[in-house]
Amino acid sequence: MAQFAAQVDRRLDGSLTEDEFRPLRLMNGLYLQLHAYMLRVAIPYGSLNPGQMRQLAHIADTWDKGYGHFTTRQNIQFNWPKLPDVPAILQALADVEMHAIQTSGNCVRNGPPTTRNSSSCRESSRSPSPARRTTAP
Amino acid sequence: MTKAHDIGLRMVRNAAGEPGFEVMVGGGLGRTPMIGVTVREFLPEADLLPYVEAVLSVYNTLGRRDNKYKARIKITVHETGAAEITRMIEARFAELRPLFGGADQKLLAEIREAFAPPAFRNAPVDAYDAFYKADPTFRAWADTNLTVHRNAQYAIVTISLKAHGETPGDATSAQMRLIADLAEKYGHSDLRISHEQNVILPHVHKSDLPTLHAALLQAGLGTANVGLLSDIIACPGMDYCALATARSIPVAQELATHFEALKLEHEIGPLKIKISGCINACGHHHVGHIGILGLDRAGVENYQITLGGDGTETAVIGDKTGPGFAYTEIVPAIERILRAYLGLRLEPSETFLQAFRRVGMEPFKTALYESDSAQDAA
Repeated sequence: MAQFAAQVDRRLDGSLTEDEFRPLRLMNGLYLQLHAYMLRVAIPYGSLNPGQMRQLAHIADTWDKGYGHFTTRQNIQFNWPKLPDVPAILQALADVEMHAIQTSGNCVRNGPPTTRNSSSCRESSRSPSPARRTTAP
Repeated sequence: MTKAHDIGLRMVRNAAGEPGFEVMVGGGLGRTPMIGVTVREFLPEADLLPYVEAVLSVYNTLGRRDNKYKARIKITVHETGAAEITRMIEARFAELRPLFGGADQKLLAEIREAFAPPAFRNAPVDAYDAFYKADPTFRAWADTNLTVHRNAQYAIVTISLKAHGETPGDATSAQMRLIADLAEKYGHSDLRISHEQNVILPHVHKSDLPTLHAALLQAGLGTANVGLLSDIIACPGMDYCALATARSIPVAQELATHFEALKLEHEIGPLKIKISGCINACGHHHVGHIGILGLDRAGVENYQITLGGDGTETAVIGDKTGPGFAYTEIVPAIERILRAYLGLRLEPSETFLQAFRRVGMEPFKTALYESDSAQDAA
């Protein structure tokens, strides 16, 4: 966290170029889109508890435009974060055991257990979530 | 979607009733869509980790590092061939299996406890049954947004983030807080985000459903459309994305409001429309029953349609219909396809995908291109 905050500072004061900063930000799930940065937050197994959902709402209100976008990768994306605020957003995520690591680049990404069937579906053979966790921790 | 993943694992039981996995490798969407091949029909549960490691080990040996567009495991599987890659995986698995002494199974047992089902309540569901009969708004929602739970007193609730005219997958902070409250009150504090961009409450007692539904309706989260036309997957497209070649979100919004105005989506029934704003296919258009791919033709948005895609256990990549359509023509084009389906289906229970598989592409192509507006198709 401190490392990335220092990298953001160096980007802001110009000592890191965008090309140099790019791999560093992507490792923390921070993309640069058409109009703004976009932060892609991991939701492993697509699973959230209410406290985490409330924290996402808090992030949307405090550092974004009051909404978030749930994606086909079972992530949530914030579309309008300002670069100086990103370390604070990552800290807010860490406070509820969330992060934006491995949501970009060549790595094992978040993979979905078939959510609706997880531990409740009548036809389901067994819950896939525990196996998912052992294969991609 | 297991067949469209690098490694897909489908939970199955063998003839003796033991749990295990069918292992599929080499699926994927993106610019080179492929359906995974089954390398193992039945893998005992305890062999999962060494087997997946064997797959990755073979991929590590053979995988292309010379070209990032050919780096994915699907290319490796395709270039090596299903039989040979299966042989290599099994040979590597035989080497790796003895190295796994059971620590992974101990860890799995611990993790399994963390995913234990909640303490289910035992209470009457008469109120649910009565409300279902009496309130048509509730009934429509229950018919589309509930899935059968293994406990007959419970239901799996899908909260639609696809209100007609809104951006698919978007939730406001107020909606997120309400969903958190409802999960706490009625859903054993469990929330799941689906790849179809909705939110799932996996365990809700049926007696709580009328109250839950009323709260959702008030917050714009009560749309009864899960699995229907307007339950569209759409990528952010050119409204946000630096890679996009066309807009996706407004196409999804216009389709939803157009068919809502025509009151047709419940009549049309189960249908998956998936929209991507570039060939990277974040919107999974290859496996949409109707897929829409937004391209850039000399600076103008052009939308290519595919039909017959399927992301389930009968996975298929959709077929292109022919020339694409301009932004203003795409919604009427989809209407022509769906009018054709309504005319072609043998009975209302024959879904779009079933009808497409029975009659093939030709009647839909005819409806799409041999109409009055055919000359507009570019």
